[in-house]
Amino acid sequence: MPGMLHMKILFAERPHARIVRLDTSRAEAYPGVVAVLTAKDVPVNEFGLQQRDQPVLCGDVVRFVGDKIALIVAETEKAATAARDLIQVEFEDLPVVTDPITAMKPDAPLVHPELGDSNVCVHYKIRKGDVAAGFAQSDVIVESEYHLPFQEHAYLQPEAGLAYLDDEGRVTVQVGGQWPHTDREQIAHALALPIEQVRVIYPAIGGAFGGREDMSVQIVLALAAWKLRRPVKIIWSRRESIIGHGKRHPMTLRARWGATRAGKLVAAEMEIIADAGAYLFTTNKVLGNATIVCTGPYFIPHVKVDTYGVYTNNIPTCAFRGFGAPQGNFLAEMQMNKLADALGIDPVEFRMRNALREGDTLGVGTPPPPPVSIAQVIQAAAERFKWDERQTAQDESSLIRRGFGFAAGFKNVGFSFGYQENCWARIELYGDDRVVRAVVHHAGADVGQGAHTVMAQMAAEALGIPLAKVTLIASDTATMGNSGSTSASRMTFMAGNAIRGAAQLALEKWRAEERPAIGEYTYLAPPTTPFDPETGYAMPNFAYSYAAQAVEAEVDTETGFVRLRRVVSADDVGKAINPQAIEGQIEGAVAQAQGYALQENFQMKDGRVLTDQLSTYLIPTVLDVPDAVESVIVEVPDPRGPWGARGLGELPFLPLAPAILAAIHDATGVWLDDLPATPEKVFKALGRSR
Amino acid sequence: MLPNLIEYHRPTTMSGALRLLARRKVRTVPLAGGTALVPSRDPSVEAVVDLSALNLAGIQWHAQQAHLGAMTTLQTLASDEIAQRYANGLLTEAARVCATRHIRNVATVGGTLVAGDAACDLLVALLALDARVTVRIRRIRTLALDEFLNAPSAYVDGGIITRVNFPYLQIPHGAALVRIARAPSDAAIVNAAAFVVLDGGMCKQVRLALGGVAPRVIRAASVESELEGRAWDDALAARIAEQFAASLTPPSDARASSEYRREMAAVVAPRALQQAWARAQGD
Repeated sequence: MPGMLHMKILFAERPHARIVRLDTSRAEAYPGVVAVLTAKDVPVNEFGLQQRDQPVLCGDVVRFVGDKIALIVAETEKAATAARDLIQVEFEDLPVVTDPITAMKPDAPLVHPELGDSNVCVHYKIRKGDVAAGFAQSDVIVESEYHLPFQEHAYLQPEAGLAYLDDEGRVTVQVGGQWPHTDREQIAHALALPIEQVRVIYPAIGGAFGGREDMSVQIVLALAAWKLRRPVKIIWSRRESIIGHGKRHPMTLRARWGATRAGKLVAAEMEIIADAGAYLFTTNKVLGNATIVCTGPYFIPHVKVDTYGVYTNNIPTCAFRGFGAPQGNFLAEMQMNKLADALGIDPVEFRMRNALREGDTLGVGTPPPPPVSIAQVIQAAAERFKWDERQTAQDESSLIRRGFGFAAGFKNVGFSFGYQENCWARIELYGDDRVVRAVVHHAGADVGQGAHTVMAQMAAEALGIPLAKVTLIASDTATMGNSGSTSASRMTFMAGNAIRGAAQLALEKWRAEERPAIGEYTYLAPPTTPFDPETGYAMPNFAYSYAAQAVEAEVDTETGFVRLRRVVSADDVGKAINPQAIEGQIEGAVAQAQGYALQENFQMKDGRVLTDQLSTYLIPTVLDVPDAVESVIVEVPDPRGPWGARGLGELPFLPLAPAILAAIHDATGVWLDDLPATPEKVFKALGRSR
Repeated sequence: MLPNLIEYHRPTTMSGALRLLARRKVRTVPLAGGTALVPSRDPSVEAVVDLSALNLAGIQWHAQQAHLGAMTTLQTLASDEIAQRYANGLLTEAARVCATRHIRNVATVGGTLVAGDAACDLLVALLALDARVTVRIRRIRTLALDEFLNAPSAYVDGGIITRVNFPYLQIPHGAALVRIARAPSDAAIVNAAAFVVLDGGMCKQVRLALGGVAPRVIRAASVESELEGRAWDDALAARIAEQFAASLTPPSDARASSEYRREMAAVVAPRALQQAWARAQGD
């Protein structure tokens, strides 16, 4: 843009410290520098999606390495970078706490002393039935402790954006994100501006996976453009992206499950401790999900869960494909495979005996809304894989052992716990006697999954016109109502209902001969309720999706290297609106979950990131992914979904890691309880068993 | 980037290049592909001498010897037709796995020697091929790659690597590269290259090199001498290689621990020897 400036950010690069002195004078004097902004320049220096516990710019204390201290705005990026390195900060280091279990102890250093006398920021309880009685009835009890790691989103594009004042003087931010209206709200709050004075526009981007729900460059760009009245641009480097945005929650999960000899689950007792990092982000909601799904899609009469989120000086943890469900589901599916093994029952058969049927209650004491399709997806995956015909005999002379594993999963669609889900759309029909053009306005973000394609398809279907006549205008808060976030596998479900409602209204006006005929509609999903604080009793969700996967893997017993050969993924999408995009989601989720299970090893030490590049933090490439990923699209319509559609995006991620670990066990007889199952870890585990 | 770089030279004569590199007042270093030098951000470098106009690129296969010009890119090596066949394609395989295509298009054989990565697949392969290095400072000097790797920067200080050569044998032989890595596209955790020359059922010559097990890639001389002159015995070769591996004290880093590297050395070394032997018999 003409007159555009470039921004660099001075990050804390320290896990916990007090800023004693901040001297920006040399940076301000650097040729080409237009401004250096610090905490004193932020009108309301706080933000956060769930709780405003994070300063836009730290003036007093930094709590993790990616906290921001100063913004350097210059005529060139080079000048901004050079000036950033001239800023002098004198820190007084504060005690660092990085292990959540240590951080729970009463004498632990506090990350947020202003919020109370404990680092525990979340505690949920489920009390269903009587677990002591349940264990007394159990013939077999399996007890385990699992450790799950951070995961980095590693989306295609690092954080980037452009802010400027538009023709009407609104501070406008073009940025990649997931929910333009909450971005706008958070910008307006920090800048102390009326909401109408802020505009957020999203271009379609290549990936988000939850990592773009929380603020990165949005507020700081808006701040600089507003103060300087000039366009300002920033593009983070990969390293800045990795230290600057949240990660999947590492968790310690303790589980004790009991079943009868007949293969019926009786009791489950769980304790889940999650690292929240330095700020809350969406940890409260993520852990709500983990709490619901940690029983798996199975009926268990007696359930006790305690889930804790704990502040530390690590990178904050946030939404990431599955939103707590991968961890909770991992626990459940590992326990299921271990119990099946202990009982000598086939893991598919064991799941069928316990799969939720309509009317069965979850740990929260209420049943999931029907139809419940877990049994259908388990059967679909087993049939396509030919599970019953798999070759279980090992070649004892070979160093390469083959194994098979099975797991299932389920996940809510849409926001939970009493939030009134809503989604806006507007449709304008142009033409005379026939509709020649339909313009669909929708604020939902396309983050690489093809949401906008599916929206246009659904509009064409609802209006009964060819796709070529549909124009979609998306993701601009200046002209659109709130369509909600592209997260929680909700966009197809919510947008479809909103578009269908808007289409119906527009067609009514068309028939009444209004030209253009405009229909505007906000879909409201069925209400939900939050956990009861003591028992966890709730009707937390209005829809779920179900999945099951079977895998074949090979383990090199001399090196510990695991090669994933074949994955069959059966996912109930209700109604496949775009089957090719669904296969893309399944294959992508399998690759991402394979990374989580085997390869991606995010390492932090004393609050500092050791794997801050994609050369040290490895994600799967075409050379790593399985030889075959077979998608089985199951269609059990959800009566509330548009044309029966459920959500999909997160679903195929859920079963893979426990399925792979079951295959490793099948191949070698060894259970791994930690991820990622790197060759070195597998090798060590095999050594212990020898 | 090199933050304090003030001079860039691209001489067309060897004497001109050597004159520039001999200067002591301006810290001057040779620039080959730059894939190691540029990201090093070395603040001491004030001048670079680009070697690309000195005619140092190219591969020649003579009757008994192969010559790799020091400025030959790894991609040229990877696509050389004779290299793809000789020694079961050991060199081309090593060149392919040790760097991605973009790096291979600029990284050079000479630069790879100076960078001296401790787990470099190409260096392991060249060691197994018994390579020698020619360095030109005031005079021309040729020394074994194994010796050169003791102190690459000392041997090349003020001079230029012009060539790497190795025997181009026309008698039955076999070679193999075995590597363990976190992912196929990642640097090796440990690797081993073996080269075996047969004489009837006897082992006339054995070369075994390992990477990732010491501060530099190494030759397993004791394994070689124990196996040479004997009838091949798979189990014996495996046992000797395992004993050698057990004596190592590899480094630990984010890719793997010292213990895992030692254990894996005992896996890759016998695997490389056995594969090389099997391929030699197939010739």
